[in-house]
Amino acid sequence: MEDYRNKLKRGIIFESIFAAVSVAVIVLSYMRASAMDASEHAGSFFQGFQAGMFTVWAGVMLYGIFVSAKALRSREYLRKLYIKEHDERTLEIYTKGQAKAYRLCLIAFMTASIIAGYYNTAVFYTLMVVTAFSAVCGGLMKFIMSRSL
Amino acid sequence: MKTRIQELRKIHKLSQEELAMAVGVTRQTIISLEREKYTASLVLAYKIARYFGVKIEEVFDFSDVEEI
Repeated sequence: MEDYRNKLKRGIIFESIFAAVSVAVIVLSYMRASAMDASEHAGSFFQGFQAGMFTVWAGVMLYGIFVSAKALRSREYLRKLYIKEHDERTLEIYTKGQAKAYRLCLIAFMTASIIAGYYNTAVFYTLMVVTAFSAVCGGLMKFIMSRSL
Repeated sequence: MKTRIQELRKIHKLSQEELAMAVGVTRQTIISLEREKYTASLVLAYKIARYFGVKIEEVFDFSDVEEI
């Protein structure tokens, strides 16, 4: 439980840094529009998208800080949080669900890249790179886990 | 896998939440165990049996385990 307490303390530090970075990106996104496209609409769209995404990210970080701080103050809440995060059934659900989702995503990316190849070269290459990167990451993780277990 | 967890819990007058907290899992896990939808790990099975003061075989029914 002491290790978990230290993990929460480290988590608060990281979450604070990420929250501060998110706020900085939100401010920057309003100061400088994206130069992605010549049209005004595309620039403001990406600006809004970045601001929205990082607003949610900052909110998630602040929630994490609040939960961690509450756990560090109360032993009972710390124990409940520890059980919730280390429950074996929950971990098994995540593992099995994510394994299936990973395979589904690989198939979807591959299919999308084949279809994109008929319409747009940039999209085709982007999707191919994403598919290859996902496949390599998955293979590498499988190798690492098979060596460690 | 069939279990006697619900029966033992009622004998000891425990709620699902109390048993879950005692063995270090969520209430949902206890519910899934009692409904025979989830099979406990060896460690969890041992913790539950130890909590009730009985052997693992007296909590979990291994007669349906498939022989390969």
